[in-house]
This record gives sequence, C-alpha cells and structure tokens, in this order.
Amino acid sequence: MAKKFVLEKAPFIRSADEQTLTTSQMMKYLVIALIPIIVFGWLKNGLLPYINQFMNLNTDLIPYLDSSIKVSLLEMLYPLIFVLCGGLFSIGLEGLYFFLFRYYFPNKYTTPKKDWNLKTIYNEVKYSYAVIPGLLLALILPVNTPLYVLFFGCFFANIVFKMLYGGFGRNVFNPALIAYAIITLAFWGVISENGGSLNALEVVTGATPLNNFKNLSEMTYENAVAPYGNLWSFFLGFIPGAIGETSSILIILAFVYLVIKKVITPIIPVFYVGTVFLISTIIMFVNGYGIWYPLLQVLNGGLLFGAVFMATEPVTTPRSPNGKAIYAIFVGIFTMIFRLFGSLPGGVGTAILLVCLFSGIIDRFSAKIRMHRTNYKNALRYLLVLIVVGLLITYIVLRAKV
Amino acid sequence: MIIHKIKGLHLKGKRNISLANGVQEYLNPKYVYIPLTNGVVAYRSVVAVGDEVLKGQVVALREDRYAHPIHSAISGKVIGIKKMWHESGKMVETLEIENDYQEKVVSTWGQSLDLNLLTKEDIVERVKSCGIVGLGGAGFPTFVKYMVPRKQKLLIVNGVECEPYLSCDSISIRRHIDKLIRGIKYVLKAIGAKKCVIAVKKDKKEVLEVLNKELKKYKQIDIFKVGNYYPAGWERSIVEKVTKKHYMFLPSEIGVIVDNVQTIISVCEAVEENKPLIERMITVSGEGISSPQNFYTKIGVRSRELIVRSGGYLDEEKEGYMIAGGPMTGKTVLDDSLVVSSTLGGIIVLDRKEGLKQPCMGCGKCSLACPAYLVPTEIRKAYEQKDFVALGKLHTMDCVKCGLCSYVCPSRVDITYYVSLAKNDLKNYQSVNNKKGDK
Repeated sequence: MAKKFVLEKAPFIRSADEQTLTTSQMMKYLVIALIPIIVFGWLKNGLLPYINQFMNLNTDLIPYLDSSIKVSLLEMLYPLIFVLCGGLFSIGLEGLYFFLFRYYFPNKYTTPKKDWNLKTIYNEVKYSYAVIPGLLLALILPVNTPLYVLFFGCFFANIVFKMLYGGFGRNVFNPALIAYAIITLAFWGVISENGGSLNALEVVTGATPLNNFKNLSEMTYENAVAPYGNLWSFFLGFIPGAIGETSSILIILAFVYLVIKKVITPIIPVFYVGTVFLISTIIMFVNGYGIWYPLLQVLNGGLLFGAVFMATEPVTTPRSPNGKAIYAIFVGIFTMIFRLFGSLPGGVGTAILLVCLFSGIIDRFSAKIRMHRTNYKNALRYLLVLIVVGLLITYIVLRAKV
Repeated sequence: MIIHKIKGLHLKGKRNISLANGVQEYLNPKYVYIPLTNGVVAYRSVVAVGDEVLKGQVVALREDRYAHPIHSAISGKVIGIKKMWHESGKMVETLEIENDYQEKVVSTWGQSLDLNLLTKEDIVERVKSCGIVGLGGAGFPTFVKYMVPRKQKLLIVNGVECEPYLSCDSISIRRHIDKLIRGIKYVLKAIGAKKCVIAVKKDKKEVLEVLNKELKKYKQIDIFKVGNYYPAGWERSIVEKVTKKHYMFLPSEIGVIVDNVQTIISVCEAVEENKPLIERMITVSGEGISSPQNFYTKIGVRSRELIVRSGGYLDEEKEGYMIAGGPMTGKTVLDDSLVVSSTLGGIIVLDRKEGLKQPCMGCGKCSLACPAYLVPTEIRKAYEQKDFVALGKLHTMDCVKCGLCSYVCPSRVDITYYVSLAKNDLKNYQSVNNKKGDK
C-alpha cells in the first residue's frame, strides 16, 4: 500500500514544533514569572507582620513594621489566599461560561451534548488561559479588598471583557486593567473602609507612597521618600502597596526572564519606563529636585509592574515593533499627565487603557511607515510623531514647573 | 536610503542528511512527463500523440512575451497527455513520453559556438533556444535577464541555498566546478560585466574549499560569504549584502545580474554543446525517506522513481507530507506522482505534524521576523476587509512568501498563506485597474 499524503500549507517546519515556543508555553512562563512576586507579596503583607509580633524585626530598610499590630494565622495567609482566589474565580467563571454556552445550550456548531465531560471543559479553559486575568487583577488590587469585590472584578475581567468579546485573542481592553478600573470606580469606598490589620502597612503609614506623593505640600526628599525608608526600600519593595506592584527588583528579574524566554519583546517596557524617566528628569532639572525624583517616579506606583505585565499584554497592543515603541511612548506621556494633573493617584492603568483604544490606529499607521527602505514621506511621518511627542512633553514640563 | 537592513532567522540546516549519501545519476527513466505549464503560463504543445520525438527536440512553446521552447528529455514516443501533480501544488497537463532507450538526439546537439568569437547576441540566442530558465525556483527566463540593453557591472552567482534540507546547489558546485567557471565567463561576456561574485553560505565548508582551490587563478571571480540565516538566498538580500545598494524591481537597475549556480552550468552546456535544459540536480530528502540523497536526473521524472531509488519511505503506515520544493516555501501534493519540473529543487517527505492551532494573540513575532519589514497581521486584517488601498500602502507586494511569519508563530496561524492570498488579490486588482486606466 502506498504511503498516504495530506495537504498542508507552507512552511512545514515551525518553531512551534518545539514545545518551548508555543502560545500555551508562553502563558506558562508568564505565570512562572509571577510566582516570585506573589511570594514576595505574601512575605511583605503576611509573613513579616506575623513574625514581627513575636520578635522585633524593625530595621532601617523596613520601617513600616509595628509590633503592636496583631496578625492571626489566617490573616498571615490572607495575601496568598487572595491571589489564589483571583485565579480560581477566573477559572471557575470561565469554566461555567464554557459549560453553559458551549455544552449545556449547544447549537449545531459546537460539540454535541453527549460528548462533553470535565476533560473537554478543562481543555477549553486551559487553552483560553483563564487564570491570567484573575491573577493579575489580584496582584494590582489593594490586599484589603474584600473577596466578593475580587469576584466581581474577575466576572468583569473574564466574562464581560473577555468571553463576551469573543474569547482569547479578541478582547479590546486588557481584562485585568479594565476590571481594576471598574472596581476602583465602583468599590473604592468599600476597599478603603475594609482596612484593618490585614493590610498592616497601610495602618502604619496611612497612605501608599503614591497617595502621599499626590498630596504633598512641598516636593522634597524628606516628604516624599523618607517616610518609607529610602530609595532602596522602593527598589526592594518594602513599601505599602498592592501585592504585585511594590518590589521593583523582582519585577525587573521577571522582565529579564520573560525577555530571555521570548514571551515579551523588551520594546514596550524600555520605551515606557524610558519616557517616564526622561520626562521626570526634565522636571527634575526645571524644578531643581534631586536625582531621587525621577527614580521615585519609576519605582513607585506600580509603573514597572504595569510596564512589564500590563502594557505588554499582546492582544491589545500594537503588533509591529515601531508601533509598540510609539504606543509605549504615549503610554509614558499619559502616565505622567495623569500622575501630575489627574485627580486619582494612579496613572498607569488609566494611561494603558486609554492608549489601548488607539492601538489599532497606531498599528495601521506604523505598518505603513515600516518598510525596508524609506522615503521623505515616511521621514515626515516619523517627524510628525516626534513633534507631537515633543509638544506633549513640553506641555507637561511647563505645567509641572513650580 | 536603507533604514532597515535585510535580516533573517537561523534555521536548522539539515543539509547533511542528504549530503552524506552522495549523488546518484538517474538518466534513463521508462517514462517522462513534460509539464505543459510553469504553474502560471500554459505552454502550447507542438507534437501530437503518437509522434516519435528525439532527445532535445522541441515539444512545446511558451508563447507570451517571454517566449522560449520546451524540449523532450528522452527519445521515444509521445503516448498521451496526462494530468500529473506539479510543483505549483496543482495537477497540470503533461506530455507523457515513453523511452525507446535509443538515445537518438537532435541534429543540432553538440554544436558548440565559436568560443573565440562569442558575441552577446549569439549567447542570448543560444540560451533562448535551449529554453534555459532560472533553476533556483522562480523560473524567470534567463535570456530576458541577459537582454538588458545597458552594460552591467556585476554578476552574482547565487549558491546560497538557504532552505533547510536542500543541498542540490552545493552538490552542483562540487560536481561541475569547471563548467561553472566557464559558464561564468560566457555570462560575463553576454552581460558585458567585468566582475563576478559567487555567494555561498559561510558554513558550507566543503563548497568553500572547492571554490577556494579552483578560483585561485581567476582574478575576476570573488567568493562572498553570507551569514547562516534564512532567507539569505533571497535575491534582494544577496544584492544588498554584496553591493550595499538597493533596487526597486530588478537588480539590473543597479547593474547587477543574479543567477543560480545550476543556471550558469546549464548556460555553459548550452553554449558549448547546444544542450537544452533537460536535466537538473534535485534533492530527495526529509525524515520520511530511508537514505536521503541528491539525484542528477531528467526533467519529467516522477518523484516515485526517485524515492524508490533512495530506499523508499521509512514508514509506509504514517501519514506524511510530500513537499515539492523546500520545507519553507514548497507546496504539498497528494501522491508521489509529482513531476520533476525545471524549477523544482527538492522533494521532501516529512511526517505529519499536528500542533494545536490557536487564534492570533497579536504577539508581533511575525513582524519582528519579516525580512521585508512588513506587518503580516495588518495585511491579513486589510485582506479580510478587502481594503486594497490599504493593502497597497502596507507594501504587500514586497512579500516574498518566505514563510518566516508562519514559522515563528506560536499559535500556528497560517499567516503566510493569508499574506500570499492578499498579494495575489492585490495583483489582480492592480492589473484590472491598470486596464481601466488604459481605456
């Protein structure tokens, strides 16, 4: 009998033939990169306050610990439970969605009712990467958020802004960020009332550095940085804040890991952080602050977390490298605008969501100007982008001048 | 002004599995099937069923603006017109010729041109009458290249062969190095150039050794080593690497002619022996073949005969791909009656792979990998909206269908397929609109 041949489209060798370069493997790497950050969040928000009530750990590096705060065993584990719940809520909600709309109310295009079992739903959820929005949402919410609020967030992230938009690969907004925006709008009072000893840090200091930063009467090192230790505290992450966004060093390590594993390209984080650093450096020179000012802008308020895990979310960002650069520069500019002149303390999430809206336009524009050789028309288009960026930066600097 | 240098990706070469078993000659098949098309243009057959044909006799004519004849590869009898699988991925009509093993050749065979009094016109005429086309894969008629009115500065001989598995060009250089050097002389005469560069991948040590040894006494021929990446053998890439200049449509704009190694060898044979294009080197390789090797064979042989001569399939039971051409750009056919046509460089048999296909998540790896600096996802989007103006502005025509965007895709999206569909549609749209404009 002759060998049987089938038709297929070229190319017949794929980099995805090796298991390291498939989409599911990339998502696994993303979760692996989050694990140290989760563990650190637990260490900072749960374990250290718990140990601190028995022995005094107070050092210069972690000045927020206060041995008068009592932390129970459950409260010690709460940060871990919180993050875990984020992932589980997402998986559960999406599994329910698949169960209801793919199997329980089947139509002629989906798997017949008799064919489904737990394994098929497991596969659907697995290859829809349900866990990631929930995990990221739990990492950027304040740790004293009640669980039912987190559940609402996961519902918005996974069902409304992901599955109803068509599932994996078709969402318009970053699901975790849009859910974060909705929660901060709708439940901010609930979150701030629900303080207490769970978030030991915020009792001590009263406000996260970014909140503090916003309400400063005078911008000096003593006012902005000193209440939280020094810049090393910001770099290592022993400051108040959400679970994911405080430890800059771990986020940078995760960034390096993700770049080496080719999950993300370094373009967006580098241009984003670079823009923020550049603008705040100019403001530093204009207003005569010390070098701590741009460093604080970069290390503070989840900027690095947003740059590495949020702004690089592939579905909602431009595809082409130059489009990614343009996108990242504008996210940086809008982050600075929201931080300096906005009414809410954080600017990262809002800026990313805002520029995500334009990523389709940026993509088409940058695809037109991206080619092997250039002409004066393309040069003019690049020039146009540069002029817009320059004008925006000038505006920011002029308004930020004291 | 070049702002982006052409780049590529390093692929696993896998040339050695076919190089290890050497080269085999297979010149007396029982039947040959001469394709009556090159996949795009149909040829007109000039012999009838039942006619006796001689080896080298004209059996068909291409009759568009690149008119040239097609020759019979063996002497024998035309016994029918049969549909066979062709490298274009379709079934095409072929002239079935039965071998009479008499090896009767046409009377013009063996007439050498006067090598001392060669003129440009003679060589072009000879290349045309011998039906020589580019053997690298594009199949562009070679005499058209040589007919450019201006004098050219440089001849680049393309021996890069960047596709994985293929090794027929390397083997050709080693086997026919003397013919290659003489062919270069004739081509230089034809295009009026003074210098020649042979481009070879730098990891092909055995080829470089032969070239270094043989080219010592020829000052006008240089060796250019290109990096080990795909697509290093792309014409635009080689020209840019060698001359540091870029061109719009054809390399002759900047005084460069690019020819494949095997084309040059056929030109040499045409000039010296008046031998038409009826034989070529072809790689039979892949993981599904027992002993992969190269064949020097007639055009029109079925792939089945070559595969039997290279040990047959490894596993008859498994489903596989029969690929006409290289694994990056080739087309699959449904059975092993694939006909060796003049531009077919390899027959690759691979096992079927079933990876998980997922929706595009927009990671942008395809546009990072694209050697022509396109954004394939945007082209696909514009193609699905049938937005031809946008397709034009996205430089869709610059696509060379190298397959790298599909290669790097972690979700196994067949993005190359969509881009090539978009390119075809845009071509049709532009030609229709141009005709409207003429009226």
